[in-house]
Amino acid sequence: MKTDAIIIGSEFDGLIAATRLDECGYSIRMFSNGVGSLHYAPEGIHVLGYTSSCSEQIVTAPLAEIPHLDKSHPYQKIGVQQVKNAFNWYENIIGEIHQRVAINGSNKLAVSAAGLCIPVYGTFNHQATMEKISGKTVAIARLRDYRNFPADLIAVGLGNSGINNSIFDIGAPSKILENTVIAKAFDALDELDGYFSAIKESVPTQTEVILFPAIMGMSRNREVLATAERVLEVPCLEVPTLPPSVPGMRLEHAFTHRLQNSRTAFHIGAWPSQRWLAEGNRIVICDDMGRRFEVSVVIVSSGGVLMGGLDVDSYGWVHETAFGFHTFQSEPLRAATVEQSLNALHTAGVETDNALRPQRKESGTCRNVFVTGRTLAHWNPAMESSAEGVSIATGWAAAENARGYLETINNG
Amino acid sequence: MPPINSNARVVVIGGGATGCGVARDLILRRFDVTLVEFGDLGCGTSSRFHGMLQSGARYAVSDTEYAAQCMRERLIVADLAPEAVEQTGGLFISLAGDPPDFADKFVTGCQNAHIPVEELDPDQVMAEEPAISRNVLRAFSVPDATVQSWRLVNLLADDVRRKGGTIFTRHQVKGIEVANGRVRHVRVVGSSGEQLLEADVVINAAGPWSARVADMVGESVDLQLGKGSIIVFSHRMVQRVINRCRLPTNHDIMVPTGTVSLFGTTSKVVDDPDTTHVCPQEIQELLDSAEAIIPNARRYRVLRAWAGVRPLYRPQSWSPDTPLSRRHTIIDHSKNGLAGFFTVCGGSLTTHRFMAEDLGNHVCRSLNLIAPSTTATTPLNKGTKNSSWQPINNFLKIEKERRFLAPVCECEAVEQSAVIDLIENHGICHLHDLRRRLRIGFGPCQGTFCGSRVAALIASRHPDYPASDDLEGFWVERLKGVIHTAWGSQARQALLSDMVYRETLGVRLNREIMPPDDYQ
Ligand SMILES: Cc1cc2nc3c(=O)[nH]c(=O)nc-3n(C[C@H](O)[C@H](O)[C@H](O)COP(=O)(O)OP(=O)(O)OC[C@H]3O[C@@H](n4cnc5c(N)ncnc54)[C@H](O)[C@@H]3O)c2cc1C
Repeated sequence: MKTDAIIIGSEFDGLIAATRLDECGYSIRMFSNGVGSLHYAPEGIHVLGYTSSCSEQIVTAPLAEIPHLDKSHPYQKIGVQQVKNAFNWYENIIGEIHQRVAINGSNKLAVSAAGLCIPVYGTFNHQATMEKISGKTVAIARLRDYRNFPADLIAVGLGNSGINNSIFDIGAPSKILENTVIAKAFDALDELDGYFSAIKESVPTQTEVILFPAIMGMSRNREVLATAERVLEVPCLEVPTLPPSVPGMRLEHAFTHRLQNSRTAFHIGAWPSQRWLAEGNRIVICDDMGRRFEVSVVIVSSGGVLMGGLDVDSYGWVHETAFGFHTFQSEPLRAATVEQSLNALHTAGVETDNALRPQRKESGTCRNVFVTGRTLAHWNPAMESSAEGVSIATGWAAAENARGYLETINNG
Repeated sequence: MPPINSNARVVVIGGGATGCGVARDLILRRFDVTLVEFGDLGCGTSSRFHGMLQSGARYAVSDTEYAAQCMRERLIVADLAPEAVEQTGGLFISLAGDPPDFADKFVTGCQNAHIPVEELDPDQVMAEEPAISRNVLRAFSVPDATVQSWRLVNLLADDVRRKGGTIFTRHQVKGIEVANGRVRHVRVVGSSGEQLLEADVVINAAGPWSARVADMVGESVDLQLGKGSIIVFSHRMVQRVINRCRLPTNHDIMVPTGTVSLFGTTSKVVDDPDTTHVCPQEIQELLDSAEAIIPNARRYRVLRAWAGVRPLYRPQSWSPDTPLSRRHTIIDHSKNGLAGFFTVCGGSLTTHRFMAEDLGNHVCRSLNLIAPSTTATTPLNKGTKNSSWQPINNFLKIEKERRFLAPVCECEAVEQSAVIDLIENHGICHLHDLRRRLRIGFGPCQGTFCGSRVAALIASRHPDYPASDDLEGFWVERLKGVIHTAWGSQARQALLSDMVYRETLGVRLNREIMPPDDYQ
């Protein structure tokens, strides 16, 4: 079977790149050694909430802010126009395979799992934002004995923002109170109407909007929440829980289903055991079972330090784990403060040119390898609140550049 | 001078092991005792330590008398507070390259100090402790143990409260008022403002801060402050406390405690008792030395690092090229014309009870009272079932009841009911204070998951709880230890923690303190 490109890592950016290449007719293989960081990511498309030059002030218009970022930031490498193209493409595809999200305009404030505000650019229909609840009387649904939704913290946080709120208790549809189990139990619930009718009388009077933990179904979530709204007669929104993140998984599932339907091969739990550049710029990758794949393009979306795409050793040196790409680190990581340390771990990574192509120590810039997402240097998703935005932009740009490369070699 | 009877009012400054031990000693002698602690009980050196209840074997050659003191106290403390003590036992191992004649001196020293010592077959030791070096030439077993200092200080403090004493935590002593050459009042500032505590006797048990407290009455206490850094491996790599069989030096002990192992310590003289930052260079030194005992130590996961400040007393007769004694000192400041003011310093956590007894004797003598110490024989806790602390018990219980998803902190298997009990029945409402009592946030995830769960429990019972501040404080404090050991899995853990706190909970990082200039 012919394969055009291999994607290493099942990060969001890898899924984006794969989907884009697949859409253009190329055949893809995905290698991943576990779940991607979407499993930890709260709902919404975070594009740019803060910048390092001003980490106190919330960015209102992320796209307008891109030209002011450091030149080495992935958004800058890609350029604002390409970033916009990526978001436009994403807006179309996500509406098609998952649910509609608007990624234009300005940042909104999402309600966090502690009732605080997090700037977010694209929000889904049932995602709780301050805009949707301010001035309203809010009821927070606390699942009995469930540990991953700190409803009482949300109450305190919203109270501090002047939002009138109260908590009411509901029971879960499953016995095991674990995020994914509850979400799947909602999917499987025959009697959705009955479930919400039963909790109706515990909803405090005068409630104008209800906040549920973001576990209201894994695949049927829209139907679950629509039913809730119909029965309870108020808007029902979701607030993130502690990981694993059900909204993150929904997004991941939407892309993997799309790719599986178009016959993309997934090697889950597999990490390349050997890889080398063969003649004529072909790249050979062997999986752990010794099977050998020869491709023209590789995209490394291995998730940085967080997901094991980069490894830090006890002396403070950072290594790229798939190919040993250059990180251009001049001195070992050493931290004086928590902020500096986290920043160093986030911003460490592979150096690339503007086409996201890394360099090899011996042979200079690779022409047919592209690096995306957290494995790229010079950005900090937690400080900037930019995880999904950079993933979409770099995944898309890598796919576009790979496409360009594939076209040249196919034509010549 | 007003008459002073055995109901004399004593104010103890400092709620570490020493202060709590002193408070208990004096209340058993029927003094009227108030203890004032700046933070939470045991938040100073008494928790930033190495976790050992020492047999004294470490000092058998260098200071036999102190070694004997440790051995006596080690037995008494284990008897009084078994629920805070784990009887791990200890090993002294000679590795290739260690001074060959030391081992025999060591055995003689232990015998002189009445420390039971037994030579073991090195092959058997290496079989029993698979993680340690394969180069063990000789090995000795001694009765070292480990101690949960927070548990210990809280047991002491509870006993003081039960017997009618008063304990103020989160109260700082700001001044001591003197009249006619005697202490009169202690000026204390807490959340409710300033108050004056009447005092016939004031005990300065402020550990590394003792010199500052003495300075409030114009007295000086000559301390050498030694900062020691420790790293925590995420596994219980050894079953017994492992010491090098040589004269005590830096970083040569591995201590198994709970589910983890502590390796330390470095040693550096500092000026400021608040120095608790760990330097990157110290981490490298610790790792290099750990590899001598545990080959490949660098490849193990290290959870965090911390530093504590050891207050050693510097007698006038001391010459700078000799090591300072570990023994304690009691200063009766009446020799300088200030009656009723005593300082107790030096010593160790292991010997805290003996220090308190010695101090109590000094106090009684100065007041012409005859009231012997009874701390060694009075049970500490009526409810004691006399079983030693078994960290694994929580896990076994959860497994038996098949309640895998119930704990709020899965790393340390802390159940929600334990948290609620402390919040509702003991008025504890800060994450840090719950952490010290329950070990929340001590495990591999370092508070990533339990912080917000516990904060929610506090918020549900205290509507005005400053949740986001407390969460940020807790998180920064946990990560402060993690950043020094952020390699391998722990680097990933730090970033996961960041995802949870900043990206999911929306906590911002705003309140960080820069390290001092000597940081390198
Ligand atoms: C790295 C290291 C490892 C060690 N390992 C061991 C070991 O394994 N075994 C062992 O037995 N010993 C060990 N020790 C020694 C032991 O920890 C100390 O001797 C002991 O904890 C000292 O207790 P303390 O109560 O005197 O001081 P602290 O615990 O420091 O207590 C002093 C208290 O006074 C309070 N305070 C200060 N100023 C004021 C004020 N103005 N008002 C109110 N309160 C105030 C502080 O908040 C503090 O809680 C170690 C020490 C270090 C540094």
